[in-house]
Amino acid sequence: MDAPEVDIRALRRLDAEAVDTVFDAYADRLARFLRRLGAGPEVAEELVQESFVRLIRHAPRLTDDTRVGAWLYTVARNLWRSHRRWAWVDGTRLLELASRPVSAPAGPAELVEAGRTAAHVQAAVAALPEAQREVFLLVAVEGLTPQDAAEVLGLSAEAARQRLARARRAIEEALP
Amino acid sequence: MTPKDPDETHAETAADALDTLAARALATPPLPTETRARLRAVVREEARRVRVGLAEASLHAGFAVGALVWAAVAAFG
Repeated sequence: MDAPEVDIRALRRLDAEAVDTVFDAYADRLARFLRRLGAGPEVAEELVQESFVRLIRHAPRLTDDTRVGAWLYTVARNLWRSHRRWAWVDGTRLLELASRPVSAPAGPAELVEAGRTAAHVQAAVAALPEAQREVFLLVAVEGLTPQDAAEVLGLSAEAARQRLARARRAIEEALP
Repeated sequence: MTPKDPDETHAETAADALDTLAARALATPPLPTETRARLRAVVREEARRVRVGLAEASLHAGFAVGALVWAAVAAFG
């Protein structure tokens, strides 16, 4: 991930420009992460908003070494897990994604092949056990380091690396 | 620095390639403009609210310190 420069001191003061910078850097990323965990668009938006509101309320207590990205992903993930406990129905979206037939778009051969591969990857990621999907999304798609992903998931770095390796292996095996 | 094991290097390259493929395959469109604007407004308003709260708290703390100093001066001065 191209980690944006976040001025923690300015954010601690809730400087309007710093708040905007963080919002611009992470709003779409958090929404994408939540969607890929299985949240519908409206739920994802709601949880993105709540993640930022929590960051703002916590901002005066941020320490100089806080990695804002990892902090936000942690909160977003926890909110999603909490939401899912009582709104289990959203989880069915993953099953739907996993079982969706792999179809290729019309177009030149390369596009057809690329579309087919993308569909296979989407299905393979959706079919991963949640623990593996989370770490894979954080590292491969969101660009966090395995260490930051471990922090987000509350794991040791080694456990995160093992889950990541298993996820990559499962995806590779699922690709034609 | 110890040179890397070729197998390890190959595995890292394969992992990077898979990650790139996945990042492309899982790309999603950005938040709709209206949604983004609405969320941004909520976040800005929350920041303003917290800033005001902090300013009030520090003002009260200032009064408390002032009162304490005044009481100390009155008692011992």
